[in-house]
Amino acid sequence: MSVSSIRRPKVIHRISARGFPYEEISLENILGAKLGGPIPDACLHRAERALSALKDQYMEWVYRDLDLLEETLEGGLDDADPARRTDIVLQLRRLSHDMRGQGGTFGYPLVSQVAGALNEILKMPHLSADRLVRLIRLHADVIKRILDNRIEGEGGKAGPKIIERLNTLTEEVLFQEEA
Amino acid sequence: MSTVLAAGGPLLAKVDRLRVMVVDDHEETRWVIRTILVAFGVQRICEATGYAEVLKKLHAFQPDLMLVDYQMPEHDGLELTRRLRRNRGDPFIPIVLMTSEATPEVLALARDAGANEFLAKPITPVSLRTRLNAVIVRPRNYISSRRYFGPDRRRRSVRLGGLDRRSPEAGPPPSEDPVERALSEQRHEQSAEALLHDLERGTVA
Repeated sequence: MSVSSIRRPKVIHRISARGFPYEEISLENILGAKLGGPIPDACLHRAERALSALKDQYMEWVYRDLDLLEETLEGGLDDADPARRTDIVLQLRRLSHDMRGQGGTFGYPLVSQVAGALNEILKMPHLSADRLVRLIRLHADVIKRILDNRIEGEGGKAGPKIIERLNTLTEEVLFQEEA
Repeated sequence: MSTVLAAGGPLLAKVDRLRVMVVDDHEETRWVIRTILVAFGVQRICEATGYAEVLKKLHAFQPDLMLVDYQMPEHDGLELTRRLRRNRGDPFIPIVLMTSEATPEVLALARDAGANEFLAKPITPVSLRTRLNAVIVRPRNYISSRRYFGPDRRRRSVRLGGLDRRSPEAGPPPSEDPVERALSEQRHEQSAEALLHDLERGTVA
């Protein structure tokens, strides 16, 4: 029996402090009863082994995303055509979003952090195409270096410093005077 | 409908009863979630890429719970959750909303849309199990009114904002072999130091 098959929950009619009527619906713990308890600890090791086996696959995905990112940039990010720029930025956001979402799953939290930072940059609407391209290439290059060198985990003492330095370089590009 | 059977058989007879619908437009994310669920012993997994596919598969599959991505084209996870909660035919399916943007604003939106739980990406076995167990172990009442239809959060507002104690970005645990682990950490740190050095010299990008 699935939860969605519950048809007769206990319903209590109530009035909120602000006078709005509402129903409070009490459910039995159908799902708990069905499974007989929580998912046990023992499952974790099995899941972690299964994910480890996917690590090579992850590398293919993330390098493919980096290649796509470069191809998208080569397509030309230009301020002259706002509609085209929006399309390209959306594609780039999607790619950075995917890289952020997967890195930590496969033991590369630094990739997630750098891709997350890139995703935030790509949300800045008034950044010139020139600066945007420089920042995208900077972040993509750092991600590639992390992957090429298999810098797993937090990257030791240098990990936080890499993020800090990347932020500083980003700020320099963001706040430098227009030529 | 894609139903996956665990290759090695379920770990616990009862976990294999769980029916999970995974809604994400990103194929690789669905693959990762499926891999973890199968390893947990879940045998019935239905995948959907968006709201239209959910509507097609929902009644035939009858999920016990749904894992829904926050960011999807067309109808995002919030909109999907709202629509499912408004549908009086299927109002009580527990929904775990997944996102890589774990901000207080997103958490509040997820709560208001009627999501039961919130799973921050990157997803790990630990974070996924924690959220599933929260749904399995602690069922909650629902509130139905003209203004809202979803899980009753009145007694658990503090917990809502709390992410897993272990960072979801922590990834798989390190190797159990101490020598291998030490060598691996040393190698990672050396590579990280070299990258930092290049960043400081301005030779990256």
